Amino acid sequence: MITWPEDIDSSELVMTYVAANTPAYLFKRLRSSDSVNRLAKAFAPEELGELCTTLLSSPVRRQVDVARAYALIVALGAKDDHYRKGVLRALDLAVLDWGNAIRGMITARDIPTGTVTISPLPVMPLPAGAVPGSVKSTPLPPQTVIQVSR
Amino acid sequence: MIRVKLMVAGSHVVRDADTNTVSVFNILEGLAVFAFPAVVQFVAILVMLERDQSTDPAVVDASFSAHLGDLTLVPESPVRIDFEGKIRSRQILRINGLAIPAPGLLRLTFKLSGAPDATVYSFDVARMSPEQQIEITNAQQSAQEVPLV
Repeated sequence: MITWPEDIDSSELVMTYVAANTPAYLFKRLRSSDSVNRLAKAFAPEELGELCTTLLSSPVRRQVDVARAYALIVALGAKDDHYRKGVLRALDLAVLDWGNAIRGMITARDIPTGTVTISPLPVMPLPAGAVPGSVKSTPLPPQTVIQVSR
Repeated sequence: MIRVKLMVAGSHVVRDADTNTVSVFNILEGLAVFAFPAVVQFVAILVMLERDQSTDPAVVDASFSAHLGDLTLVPESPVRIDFEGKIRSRQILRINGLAIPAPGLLRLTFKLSGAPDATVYSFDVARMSPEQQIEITNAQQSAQEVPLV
């Protein structure tokens, strides 16, 4: 089970959370927080999601737990969207007043990008003298020999 | 109606993980080849799509193929586009080792299923001119003549 790393100070996160009066303010401040950047670097998206779920599923949530949960969501937003989008989508953020709003801010600028690797046909050399249709209408110019003096 | 905003081919298409922006390197405008058959080691195609969120589906099927004149280099390959509820989507298609047997017009075709027209990115593949061949030969010779320090 993943636990909150001891070396990441939560007091700064709590102060940011307490001072925030809008989701946009909280998101902006957390995104520039050193603690959030360290969280993003220290954990994989699945680990961030698991830790956030653990904090939110606790029947008694302290102020520091809520602040940490917001920090984890923003840290998740700093990860590569290709790997984090499933984790972020699966989080149940109903218990956080601004959870869904912050998730919306993270995903607002996402443009889904798919990648496909396509296999070409194996090399099939044309029979001698044969050319594809397009070449017939655009014959190559006559070859010229250029003599280069040394 | 879903529309293709941009289709471009280069040697590499790269997506920045931090900013989710894409870059196309070495855009293919034409190829000059020393001898045929030739193999282009890396070809990557970027397709940017846009849809009307109220009328168009979030997931749509498409296909990609490559032809040199009448010759099929890449058979029609299925591509699934998922907009994930967004207005825009991007698709990066990579071909590893495209064999080109002869000079001609290379056509890269992307077609959305049900769309009346396909989007085509085409460029000429030609044999190098004698001047270019001499230039390359000279450059290779010069490189060999450079003494090792």
